Amino acid sequence: MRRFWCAVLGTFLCLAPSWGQSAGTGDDVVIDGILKQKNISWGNASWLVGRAVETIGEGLSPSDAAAKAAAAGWGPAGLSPEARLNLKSYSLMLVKAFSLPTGLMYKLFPGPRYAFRELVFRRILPPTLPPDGTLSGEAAMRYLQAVQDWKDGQR
Amino acid sequence: MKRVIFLLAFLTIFLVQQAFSFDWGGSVEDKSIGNFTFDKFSSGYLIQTEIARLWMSQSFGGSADLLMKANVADAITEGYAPGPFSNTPTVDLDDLAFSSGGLVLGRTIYSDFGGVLLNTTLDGIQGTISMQGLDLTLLAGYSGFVFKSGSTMVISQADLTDRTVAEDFSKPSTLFAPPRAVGYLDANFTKLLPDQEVQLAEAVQIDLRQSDIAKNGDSHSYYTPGSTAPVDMSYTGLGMSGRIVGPLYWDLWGYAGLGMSLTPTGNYAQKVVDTTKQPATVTPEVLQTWKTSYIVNGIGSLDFSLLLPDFYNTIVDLGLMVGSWDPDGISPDQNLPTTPKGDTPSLYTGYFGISRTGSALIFNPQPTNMAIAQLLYSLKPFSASKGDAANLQMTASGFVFMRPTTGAIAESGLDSTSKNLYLGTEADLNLIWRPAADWGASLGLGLFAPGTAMTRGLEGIAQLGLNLSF
Repeated sequence: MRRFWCAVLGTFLCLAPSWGQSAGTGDDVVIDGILKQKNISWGNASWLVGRAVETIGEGLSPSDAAAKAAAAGWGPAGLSPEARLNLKSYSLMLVKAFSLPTGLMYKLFPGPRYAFRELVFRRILPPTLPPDGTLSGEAAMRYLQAVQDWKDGQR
Repeated sequence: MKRVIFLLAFLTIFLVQQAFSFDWGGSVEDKSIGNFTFDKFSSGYLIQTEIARLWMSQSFGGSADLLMKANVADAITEGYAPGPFSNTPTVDLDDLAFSSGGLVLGRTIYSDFGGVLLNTTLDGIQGTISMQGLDLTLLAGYSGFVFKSGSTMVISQADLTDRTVAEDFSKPSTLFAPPRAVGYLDANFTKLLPDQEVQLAEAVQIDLRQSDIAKNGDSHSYYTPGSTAPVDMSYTGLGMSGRIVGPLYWDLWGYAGLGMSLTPTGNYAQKVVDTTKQPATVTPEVLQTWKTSYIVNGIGSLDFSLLLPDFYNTIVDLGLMVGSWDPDGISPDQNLPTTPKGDTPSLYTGYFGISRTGSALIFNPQPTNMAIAQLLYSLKPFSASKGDAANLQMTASGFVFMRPTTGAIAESGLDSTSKNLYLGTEADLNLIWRPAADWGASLGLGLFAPGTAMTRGLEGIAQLGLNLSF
């Protein structure tokens, strides 16, 4: 699965500019949309992470993925799929989706604040980024890849 | 009106926080240090320090950041033998800096390229401009608003005198470090030689005290409070570092310092009243005179490092640092003439930097009339582990201390009658373990074996630290 996402990320980063001229279908369309997003939406992030951890299957829309993610506790329930996600909320989604090991403060207060710090500690996120900062679709894919690399290193 | 201002201020802060990214956090730390002398147990001591830190960060759209760090500490010191017990609470603002691009404005650590000559907290501005193959770093700082406990600038006799006065919040004049202006310019040539960086630096330190400080020609009495002289310095540095071959690196740097101070000259004689004669005779006090004196000093350092990140994150470093000496062992913080009763001001040649530096856990002399050789081995022995043990770092260091001349050194415990140049050897072991994002522990063990030139005995130290961040 990791290789699949590596290939997806590499291919889409290289070819993304030309894809605007050709219509794709299924996952391609969603990924194309994610890469174009300056600030990733809750639905798209849910779809991206859900596909990586295989909790959602092919053909499912970002709206459906958002509902599944909310049910899994990756984020607050009732959030609209179009809602913009910041870095620390995305961190919480990654920590929960990948069941990353966490420290004392996250165990006491399992929210975005300490999820973000866990990812910085494991060098998945650079320490200089503001936790409330915006997150582009391309950056979301990059950090997703970094989490997968970290998990692979632990296996 | 006050309510309107308060409401407006609150709304402004609220809107700024909503518009930009605000973060905060803190940590609590406990440090326990036990120092003991094997043959004189009563001379050991215990220090228990609790430190609470708080930080706040405000990011302005990713292009600029404001960072604030403050700490409250309480150090309790107690000797093994019955004696004075001290409890020293301190408060300090470590950082209050606005940064944008390569520019930092405000309070933060100011450091030179070697990290020995200058390494202290200042208020000021620092910036780096990167050009083709050249990084120019410029900093200008002021020390007068930094709490004494947060400053490592102790240069002159006036500074030493100031340090003996405890910080007292009811007396603001006792709180802050002596006012000094510091300037530093560093040109780092990154492409002059392959795999090498060449650095040229100029550092300046000027004492800004106007009162309680001597001027050229002033009369001086050893019993006049505040009779101290300013010390102004300028240092020129040259450094070269980079890869030699494979994982082997080197780092060579040195500074030459030139400066001015004042020295009390002439014979001092106390007022003497002889009542055995009738009438009693009075010999008046003879004062000394402050005269301009000059300083020429230097320091050099050479390090070879072996970096093997794939082999348990191994770092091996062999280094030597030598600081210049004064034939009379006199430095400006003692303000004594070369010839105690002479009329000619002395030339000071012992090294002192803009800030003080440290080396080992126990024996920690300033590099004046000092050669310090260090062999360091650092590794993460369980780096291949999948568990928390992977984050354990071990560092073992061995130090050998020698003095180039038989003169005085800037550390206590020297036998002034000894002609032996060898001062002692120290072995330190440091373990740092941070298994999670929010807590960690450290253990430091040290053993200092003095040479015959020292009056100190065999000394040991144990340090334990626990840290929890939130």
